[in-house]
Amino acid sequence: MMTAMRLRSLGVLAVGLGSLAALAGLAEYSVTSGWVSKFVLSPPSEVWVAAVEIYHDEKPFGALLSTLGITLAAIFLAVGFGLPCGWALWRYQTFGRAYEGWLGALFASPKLLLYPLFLVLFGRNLGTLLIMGWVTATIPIMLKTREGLMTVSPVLLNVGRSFNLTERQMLWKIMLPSAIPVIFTGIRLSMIYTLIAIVALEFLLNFGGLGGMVGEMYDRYNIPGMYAAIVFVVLLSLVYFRIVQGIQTWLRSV
Amino acid sequence: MAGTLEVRDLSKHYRRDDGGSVHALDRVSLSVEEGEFVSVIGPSGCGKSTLFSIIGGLVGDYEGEVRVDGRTIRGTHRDIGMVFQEESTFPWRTTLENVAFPLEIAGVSRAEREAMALRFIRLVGLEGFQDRYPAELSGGMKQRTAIARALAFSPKIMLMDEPFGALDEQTRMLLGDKILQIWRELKQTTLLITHNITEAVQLSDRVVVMSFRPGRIKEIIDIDLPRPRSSESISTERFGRYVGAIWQLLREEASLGMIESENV
Ligand SMILES: Nc1ncnc2c1ncn2[C@@H]1O[C@H](COP(=O)(O)OP(=O)(O)OP(=O)(O)O)[C@@H](O)[C@H]1O
Ligand SMILES: [Mg+2]
Repeated sequence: MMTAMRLRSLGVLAVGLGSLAALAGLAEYSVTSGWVSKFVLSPPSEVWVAAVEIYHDEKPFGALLSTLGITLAAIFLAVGFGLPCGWALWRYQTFGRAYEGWLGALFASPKLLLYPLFLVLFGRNLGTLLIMGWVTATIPIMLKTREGLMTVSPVLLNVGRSFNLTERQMLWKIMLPSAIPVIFTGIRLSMIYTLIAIVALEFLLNFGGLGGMVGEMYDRYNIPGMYAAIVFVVLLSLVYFRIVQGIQTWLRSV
Repeated sequence: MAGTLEVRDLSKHYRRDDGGSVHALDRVSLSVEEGEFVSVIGPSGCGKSTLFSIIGGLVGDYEGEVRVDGRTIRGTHRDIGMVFQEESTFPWRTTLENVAFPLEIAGVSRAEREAMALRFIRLVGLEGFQDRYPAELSGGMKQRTAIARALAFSPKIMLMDEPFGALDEQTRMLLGDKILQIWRELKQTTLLITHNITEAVQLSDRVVVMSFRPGRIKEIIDIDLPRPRSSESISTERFGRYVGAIWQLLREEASLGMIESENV
């Protein structure tokens, strides 16, 4: 059975990589055959060469680590703040109901446009990036924590009551574990939006990181280099999803 | 070990959102002696779950009283274990972790609680499945996990609300045998809620027949069949007579329920 499962996941991987290769081939062909201008799309072969170049000359790991570090820090702060806030929104229902709509609207609004304000408040430094990332990441975590706690099955709560659990035990042993999948949906959402916000800010402020790198390549008219830098951003977000998946699996075992 | 359960003049009105009220129970009195097995049977919506929840201390705001060993109780009670009508295992815990849950809450060390939980897992016939998650188990296995978990709480009184309500007939009868075997071994006072006549006769010392809303006790029938019983007792003639008698009592009640649900 194990081998059947392994075979199936290998199959999935093959299909994924296969379609990726097909897309790359299509892109390559559409540029070399002249359908699409080289200034719009770089053929993957050139992107690959540029990526190798960046790898040797530009030391992309610094940029990668910088973006990774800031995003992770922003999300950790957001979890530390958003979880208790989400709990409070659930625990004090009036507040929860009062704020839900506002928070939802805020979540949907492009907070990135506030960056000039944050620049004035905190200056052009890591702090601004961190705070913008944190603001972006906190809202979905708050909302999803509340939602997760609200939707715990009433019968599971009754099981807890039938075993005379204290309110604390109810929260830690039943409500939170039961809400974990929903909370992690929030964390994944916040990762997506935070990565976008931070890379965009790095780009706009020319403030290092992967966003800064994309901007530099663009300024130098190095289109394959720009695409290569974007590929690094995609790789980073892959790393991210792995990390979050790992944490969620690990949480299940404790 | 004691564990007598007594319910006196229990009445319950639910308030509805539209301002009206539902008269769910009307002066229900019954008692279950130490080590006795009693079933409550009645048509759908007659207040069986309400009775279960009041005895278990999950629903308040009622008239009358619930007594355990002669003492009036309010709210949940250490001596009462509950198995719910709905699917109630913790999906994030394995069978072993589910069953060990009440022991974990009681602060029993890991090694000790796992050993104890395994004993109950064996008792309900789930050995070999202790490391599976509920999603990997059938409905009957999940209910057995819930039963083992309630047993691990070591209550003197077991309350079960249609634990096999959602299962097919064959599984239900085999699980009935399992319940009888557990009950012989642990000798707990047991109150089983059911809407299945065969199940009630197969398992019980006495069967309490309830009327349609407001739920009243219509009759209490002693089941004088030799023990140990099993699902094979079903084919005897005496068994059939009990089933017939209870059906006679339930018939009009059930049809009242049907007429009402058709008029909604
Ligand atoms: N929380 C509640 N608020 C209002 N009415 C309720 C509530 N719980 C139950 N009722 C009503 O009380 C009556 C009895 O419900 P109960 O769940 O006790 O019946 P039951 O005999 O367990 O039914 P079933 O066989 O379907 O499980 C029903 O008419 C139900 O609609
Ligand atoms: Mg019910």
